Amino acid sequence: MSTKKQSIMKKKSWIIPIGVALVSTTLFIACEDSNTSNKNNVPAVQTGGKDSVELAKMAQLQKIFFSIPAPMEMASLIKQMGYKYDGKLLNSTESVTRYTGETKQAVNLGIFGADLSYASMFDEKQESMNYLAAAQKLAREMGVDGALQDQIIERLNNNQQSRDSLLNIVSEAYGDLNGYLKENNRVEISALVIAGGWMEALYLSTRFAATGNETLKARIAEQKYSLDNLLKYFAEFNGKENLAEMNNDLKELKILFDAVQISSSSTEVKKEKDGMVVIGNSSSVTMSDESLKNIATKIQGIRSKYIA
Amino acid sequence: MKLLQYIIPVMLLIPVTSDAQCRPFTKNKVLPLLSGYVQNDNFNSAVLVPGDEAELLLTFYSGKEYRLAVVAHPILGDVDFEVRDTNDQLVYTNKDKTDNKTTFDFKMSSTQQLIVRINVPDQKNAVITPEGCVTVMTGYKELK
Repeated sequence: MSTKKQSIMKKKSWIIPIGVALVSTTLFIACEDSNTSNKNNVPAVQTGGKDSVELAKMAQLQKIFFSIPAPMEMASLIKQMGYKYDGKLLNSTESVTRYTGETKQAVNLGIFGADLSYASMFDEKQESMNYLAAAQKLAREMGVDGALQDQIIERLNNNQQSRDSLLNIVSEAYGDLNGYLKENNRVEISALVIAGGWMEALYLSTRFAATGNETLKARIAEQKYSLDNLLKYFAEFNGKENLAEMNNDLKELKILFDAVQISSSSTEVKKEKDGMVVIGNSSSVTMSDESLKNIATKIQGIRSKYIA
Repeated sequence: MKLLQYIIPVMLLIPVTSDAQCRPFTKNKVLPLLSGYVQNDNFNSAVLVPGDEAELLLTFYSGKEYRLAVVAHPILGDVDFEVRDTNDQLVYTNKDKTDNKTTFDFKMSSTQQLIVRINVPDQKNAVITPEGCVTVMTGYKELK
């Protein structure tokens, strides 16, 4: 197997079908244009070429396997630490009408997704419904309403008694949202949604960690991994204009996360009596209170800009 | 003949656009495998062909039990996958498994990143190269 350590798929043969498709797209559009050029006077080669390049880039981006933990996992830790639900920390659902422009809409779709995860983790059913409705409205305005279909609200309505069902429906909806965007040639939007969701989860955890919770503080420090992954993913888009602002924000955040020290040793794999595998190492994460404060201030500033 | 002029290019486009088939596959074939776990990931799917290799870097948090699912469309046969740490140390491989080659359950005693490497075995005797969805997903449980 390949020894290269990157999340991008290493594939020997997908270049060929893309190449063939590129040619065929050009041919197809060229044929179409040759039939209609008298009416429209459109230069066939230029139109076909541009679409083909975009198509090839999109196909390449669709082939990337990329992952960071969903916001639900951070919400889970906040609840586990015994904190109470605080709806005032979340982005107001009423602000949904304010968001125009693809970047802001996409980031806020991620933010609403994270807020939805947080509300559902605390079994706040009405709030969960409100956040899902807000996310759905935003998705509709972005023309990606297929991502959050009415059946999800119906499923939430029908499963109000079970917290586990609520969590599963919300987790599935969040995962499917990004799958939908990716498969419908909105990979850049998907990247912004993921970044928005991650940012909101980080923002919420910093609000609670300010009370001096060491477990939460360590989890925030561990977000260094996710931030590095996000930046690598954004780099794949080769400086796309609509990702530039978020990319810069993440880079500024990285400067602060660079102060987080993570040391690790070799991985140990053990088996428990019941056969369950336990993986771990003697890693340690060190983040000063000052670093936490800097990160908390920075993420609040970035978030404020997007939710305004 | 004129009809073929249009049909052939459209058919050739299919390899590029067939990613759109992976969401139903993930929902129907992969999500049920995560039953009892909270899905904590995006839908990570791509259309692969025999001979393909793919890699995914994942972060796992301490104090949690995880299920990793790597599922391929049956047309690709059983795909091999292995889990390594970031120093390339092997943690798990499904190669020696005779049953349940698609999921790996484990607990994390520390937070760390692990790499999942997937290999779609070659089908040297295949007349037509098959292609199918491969999905990688994880779910978690809190440890009590």
